[in-house]
Amino acid sequence: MRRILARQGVDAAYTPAGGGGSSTVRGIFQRPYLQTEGMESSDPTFDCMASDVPGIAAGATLIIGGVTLKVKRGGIEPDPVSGIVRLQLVKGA
Amino acid sequence: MPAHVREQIASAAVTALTGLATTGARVFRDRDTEASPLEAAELPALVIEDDGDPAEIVSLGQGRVLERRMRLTVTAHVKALSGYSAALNEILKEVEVALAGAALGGAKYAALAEVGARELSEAGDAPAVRQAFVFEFLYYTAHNAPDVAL
Repeated sequence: MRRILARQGVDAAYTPAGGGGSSTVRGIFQRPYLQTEGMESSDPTFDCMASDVPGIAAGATLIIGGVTLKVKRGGIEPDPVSGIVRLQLVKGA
Repeated sequence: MPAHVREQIASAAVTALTGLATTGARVFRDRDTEASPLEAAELPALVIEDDGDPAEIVSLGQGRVLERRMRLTVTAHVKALSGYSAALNEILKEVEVALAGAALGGAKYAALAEVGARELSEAGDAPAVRQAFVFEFLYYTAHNAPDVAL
């Protein structure tokens, strides 16, 4: 799985919700188009190894390609089989 | 020949609602936002649609007069990480003030008839909210001259 992330992924600067030091996490960033309430939007997600973001919680920050994003409330979907966690993101403040 | 008074009123409303502090020039008419959703650069926005127009006969005879109440729906669209409730209330204030002080294309007045329920989605990269404000415009025409407001 790490080989896939290394080949297909991008680096994100990760900062836990409570603050603290930033670290670099490799993952797959997707931003599919979304239309909601008559407005254009996107539905960004970041898939990375759960072991790279231990104890991750809503409000954690990821900076990807210079764009600040935050983990949504209820937006942490771990997959115990693969060890991947999918993070649903919103634009950072 | 002038346009139907309905069109005169709708045009006057669009003019009055263009350039408000929050929504600026982002005012759209005849825009189906389900088929053609608003882009980020078009927000916050107002979408204006003219609706039903119940009419009553108020005088008889050949030149009988109709009392008509045209409904105009102004839907505010906002996409924001926070403060969208306050933004919608601010937009409503600006819309009400603008319509109260505007020439109304022959209507006697515009009255707020209904503030619709908010439609909110947090599915995307920021909450998207819209809310409809329904106004009623009272106007009179002769039955055979719908292009002239009395």
